[in-house]
Amino acid sequence: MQEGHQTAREDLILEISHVTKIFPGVRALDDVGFTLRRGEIHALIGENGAGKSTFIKVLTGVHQPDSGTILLNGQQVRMTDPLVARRLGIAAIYQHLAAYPHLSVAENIFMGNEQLRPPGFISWRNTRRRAARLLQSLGSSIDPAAQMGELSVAQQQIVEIAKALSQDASVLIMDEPTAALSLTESEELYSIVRGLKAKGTSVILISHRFEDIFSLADRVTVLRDARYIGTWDIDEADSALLVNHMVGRSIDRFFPQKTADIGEELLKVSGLGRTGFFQDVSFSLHAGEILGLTGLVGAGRTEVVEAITGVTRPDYGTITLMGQQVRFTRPGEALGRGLALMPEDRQKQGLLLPWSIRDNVSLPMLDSCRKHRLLSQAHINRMGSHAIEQLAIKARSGLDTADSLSGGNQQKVVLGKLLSSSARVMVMDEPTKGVDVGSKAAIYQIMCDLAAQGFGILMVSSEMPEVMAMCDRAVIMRQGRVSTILDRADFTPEGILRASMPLERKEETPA
Amino acid sequence: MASVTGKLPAFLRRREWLLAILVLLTYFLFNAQRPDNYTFPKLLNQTRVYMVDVGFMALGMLLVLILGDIDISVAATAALSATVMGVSYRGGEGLPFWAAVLLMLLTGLACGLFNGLLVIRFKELFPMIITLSTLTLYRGIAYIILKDQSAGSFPAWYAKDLGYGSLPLMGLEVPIMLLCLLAVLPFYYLWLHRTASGRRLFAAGTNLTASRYSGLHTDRIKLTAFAMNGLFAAIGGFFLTSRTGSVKYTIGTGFEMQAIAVAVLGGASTSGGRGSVAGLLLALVLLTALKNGLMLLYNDAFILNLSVGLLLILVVLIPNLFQALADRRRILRQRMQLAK
Repeated sequence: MQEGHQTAREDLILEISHVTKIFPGVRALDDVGFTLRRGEIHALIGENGAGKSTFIKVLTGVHQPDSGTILLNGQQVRMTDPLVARRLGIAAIYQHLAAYPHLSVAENIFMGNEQLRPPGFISWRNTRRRAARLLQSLGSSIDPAAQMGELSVAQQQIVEIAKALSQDASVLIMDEPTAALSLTESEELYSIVRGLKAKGTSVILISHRFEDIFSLADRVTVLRDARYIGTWDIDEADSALLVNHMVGRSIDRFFPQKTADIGEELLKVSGLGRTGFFQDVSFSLHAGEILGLTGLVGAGRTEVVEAITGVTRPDYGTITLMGQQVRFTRPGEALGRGLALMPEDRQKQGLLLPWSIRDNVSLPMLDSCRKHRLLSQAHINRMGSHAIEQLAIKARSGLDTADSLSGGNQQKVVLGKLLSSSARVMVMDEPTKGVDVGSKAAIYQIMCDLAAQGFGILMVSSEMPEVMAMCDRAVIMRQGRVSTILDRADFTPEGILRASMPLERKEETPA
Repeated sequence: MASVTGKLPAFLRRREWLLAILVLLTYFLFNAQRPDNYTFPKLLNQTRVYMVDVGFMALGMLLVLILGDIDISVAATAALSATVMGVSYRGGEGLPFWAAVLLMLLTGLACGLFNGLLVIRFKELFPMIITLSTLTLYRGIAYIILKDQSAGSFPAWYAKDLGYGSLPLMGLEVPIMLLCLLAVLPFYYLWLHRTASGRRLFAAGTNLTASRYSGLHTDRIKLTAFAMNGLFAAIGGFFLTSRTGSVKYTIGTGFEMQAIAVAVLGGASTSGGRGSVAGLLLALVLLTALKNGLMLLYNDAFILNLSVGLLLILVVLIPNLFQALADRRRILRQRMQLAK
């Protein structure tokens, strides 16, 4: 046993233990462990927000863990910045490629690692020759002189892999590599990744697609709520088991009982589309109702609510708000008509971070804070205190600046800002994203209270338990379309996940 | 929190106090050098040269800087507006003077509005580039109208009384045009710091996206700020012309940089969201005191510009430097605590 353990130890290229990463107000990784064997493809899965991205950023030196150890080839390493990780042979290929579209393939491959000849000029001949050799070794026929931006996404992926290999990467991290690929392209990518594995490269594969996982991975690890849940050999795992571990948590303690009665129709969207983003989206929202809008990241949910609330403009379709057909050109118009949007990114879109709570909360309603044409500080103070009291914001006073608050309390300030208006329909885009558990529960309670007061709430959410526990109905989107609308009685994790997962792609004609 | 303060006394971190101290320092230094020529009454008289026209332009510039934008076409706007006034008055043979002045203000407003329209329409272009092109455009139009001629022969009350007249107040001769600037300031202050629209301007400059999501009409706010900036530029041109007595197309060249310098010295940040009227006024006074003293000692315009540059470095960079040092110390301390 001791013997066996020893060999297993030597077999590991990467061993991560007890890694914790804390951001202000959130634990993004909580005591996470992970092992990667030499020449292994190890899938890492979890819901949105489970901690996968942070995990990768810690591995690639973008973030430094607050505690825990990373052993690379048995040696403890500290990756103080991304360059260190790259030098140690850890390379990542991101979902959104960070390529230089105006440069050639060869230049992209050797970006930051230029082929030099004395006294320090770039040797273009070597650059091209080495690039061609690398691409050939991947079985690809991409021309090293071609412009990066003119390649297909699949080809760009291959260039990124070549780039990683050019830096002698022994650990390759792939973040949703097949998200934008057709079936044939995915198959090609699979065979390239298998080839890498045969040569001894270890791969961490992050994917929402079970096809990817089951056709490539040797083992699979599940993260949930920033915690390590477990690792299984691929033979032991099936999709039902993985889904259970991804979503399985005790829901009942956490979520309040919703008691609101469903009333009249407040918002109706029919046949809404915006070219290139989503199409043919129809649903309706009633007073007292919490309607979920869910699906995978990139399914077009945020784009839909932005088109409804006037951030962007839909190309076709109709929006009916409280019986009147509307089309807004900016969020202010929507707010004036009773439709409020709580945006996804509270730091960039929701708040003026250096401003105080009371100044943030009063911003949309400044006109009502006037006395003899001048602003009344007393009125603004009252609005701030009211929000702090009503939403139980943890702050010393309304003068505390927004950037001094935790994520959950910041979110409450955004909410307070919208509640200061006279909205009846509340669109909340990922209201509990990056929010600690306590504040989550508080935000859920507020949502239930609002529903009971007759608000209609449209909640965009990626978190399945949240959708299942909070929503009366859920609109599930995939690839820019509504795939189905489920009633609460029909909610099952498997059903929602299945409706969210991209369709088995049909064979496309190769380019 | 105490460590953030660093070695710099807390009150010095407020730009207004720093400026006030520098004003006193400058005054007493030059006064000691030239006790006869550098006196308060004489300084007051010189405000008409160094303070009023640039001051009005800086009031406009402050609005644009609070938004995080910039407008370098203000001096050209002033020149074009003054040209329009001079040409339409035509030495008394054209429009009545009040109509010529009205036309001048409208020209300034139109120039600013045009800048604003371009800025909100072409969001991918920097306002710096947009107003660089309108700078040459506006001054070019002024040249086409006037060529190398100059327009003048303005009414005496304008070119003489407003330009060089003073009112006796509390035993001092106060230039009338300075009184005009000082009369505007309280209203400007109330509007910027105490009304909803002033507050919205700061909001848009602090975070444009969040302001839009908060229901603010961000495009209209930008348009208003640029239009008002054009209007203030024309007012600056009005006082400048009263001093020079005639208009050439080159009038006020380089004033845009002075206006920016005053606003930034007074606490405005080019990244937006900050700026104060009190700071702006103190910066104006400081520059007046400094330029006047240097002119007495050296009588060289080059030294003036050089000193403004040095002053900007002193006032804008040094507090930042102190802050950066304090931050670094704090981070080191946290690291050490973590290591323990």
